Amino acid sequence: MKVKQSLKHELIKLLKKTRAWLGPILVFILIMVAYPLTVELTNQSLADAFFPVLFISCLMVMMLATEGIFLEDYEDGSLEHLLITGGSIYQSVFIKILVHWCFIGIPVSIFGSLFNIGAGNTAYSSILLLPSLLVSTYIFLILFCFGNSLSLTKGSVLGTLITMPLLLPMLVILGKLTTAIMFNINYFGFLILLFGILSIIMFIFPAIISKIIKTHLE
Amino acid sequence: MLREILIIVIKKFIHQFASPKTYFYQVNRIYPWLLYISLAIYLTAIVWGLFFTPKDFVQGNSYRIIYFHVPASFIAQSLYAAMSISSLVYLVWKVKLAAYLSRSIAPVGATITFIALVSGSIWGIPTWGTWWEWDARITSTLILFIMYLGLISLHNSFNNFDKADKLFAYLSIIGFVQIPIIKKSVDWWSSLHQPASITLTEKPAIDAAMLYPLFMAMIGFSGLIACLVILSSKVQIYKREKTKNWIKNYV
Amino acid sequence: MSNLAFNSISDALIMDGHGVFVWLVSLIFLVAISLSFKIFNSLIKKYKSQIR
Repeated sequence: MKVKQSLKHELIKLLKKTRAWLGPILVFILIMVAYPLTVELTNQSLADAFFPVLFISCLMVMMLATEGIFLEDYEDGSLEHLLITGGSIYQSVFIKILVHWCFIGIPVSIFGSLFNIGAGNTAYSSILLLPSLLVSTYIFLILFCFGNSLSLTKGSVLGTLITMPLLLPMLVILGKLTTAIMFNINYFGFLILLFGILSIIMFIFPAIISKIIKTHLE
Repeated sequence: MLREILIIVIKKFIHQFASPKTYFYQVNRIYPWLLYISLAIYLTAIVWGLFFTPKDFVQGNSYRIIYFHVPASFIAQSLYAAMSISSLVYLVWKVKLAAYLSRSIAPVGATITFIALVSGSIWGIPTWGTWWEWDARITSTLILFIMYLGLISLHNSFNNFDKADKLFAYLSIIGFVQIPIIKKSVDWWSSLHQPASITLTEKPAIDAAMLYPLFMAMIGFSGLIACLVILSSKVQIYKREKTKNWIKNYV
Repeated sequence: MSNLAFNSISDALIMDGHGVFVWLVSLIFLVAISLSFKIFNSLIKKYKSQIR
């Protein structure tokens, strides 16, 4: 019952600030639309460089999405209130990340797969791309939230700079994934790897983030 | 009954040893010995390696960079592991000395990783023809370097030392995941960097004549880095225990 | 151990063309380590004088 209540709470909070979730989606669409304009109209080079542009813009959009994710709660005292009344910060962090992913991560992944067709790849590769994009946007979101929580009071630039090194192995995996999609070798292996990483990270990181927020609140 | 006594004795021993004051005095005693002995070992190993070992069949004389590059990269990774373990000790047992140690390992680790990266890329010019290549091990070592810098900047941006220590500890424990990535990446992704020549389970792939100076260089280099970490921890102790009486008496 | 790999000092410096790299790396190494020692020692001196 408590879970449903806090879920509703977070949903309302996010939906109220439309620009918080609509902004990143629009930025993503803008980048993906602007990308073919910067390439000459030969289909081959468009399809070649599409995947890196897609993954990097996903990364940047997730970074935008976590811009002030804990700051308002910290500043207006609701985090302290939660700590004092004995509620669990773990639950609130977990649900906040989940809600952000539902509103920003899923649309971005869907649009990314659709743009994939527009870049001259087959529809089959778009269908293969969709689950991996869904999982990787969630992982990016979690890692950027971790960075944001570390530098809660000092602005978010320091936090994102600190977590960039943790994201680079993810980008390496995504790079291997593109060859798997293009040539259809071993795709399910990579998908299971991504799921495995997500399943470990999804439950451990909110616990660490809650400990870090408690440290900030002392 | 015996168990409780044992636990109390161990706790007292650990907390007595883990006070910065005891650490400071003990370390002052052994520091000159450590410095001179490790310097002697390392210089012998370098002279032996640079001048007395035969030329390599494939690479010519430029393989001699191995005596600088391999100890540096190995120590860079082990320093990060030591920093993570020390941060874990701080978080679990609240031993302040562990926080000082992990903070003091960070700049030393950054320097050593920088040396490893630069020596590796200079070694790459005669061997592979290129001085940079985005393969798994080099990129992961670059990530390690950026992590060290990020840790230092995170700690410096907080005025409250307790908060800074805790956040530093969390970040260094999370970042430990890249050490297995560096070590195993050469096996997982076949790339330009050669696979490990010295493993625990197989016969070494390099000749014995080149192996002995390498081992000696690793031992001597670890001693030198221990001296640097000791100096760095002394800086941290001076900085943070400024107001305590024992430091004023010592000075 | 008594078999020197090089016949003369200029041989040791050039090392069949690879001498540049080896000596460059050893120079960088030496500079980095000695700089670190110097910086830490000067920091210790600074904090000591602050305490006095």
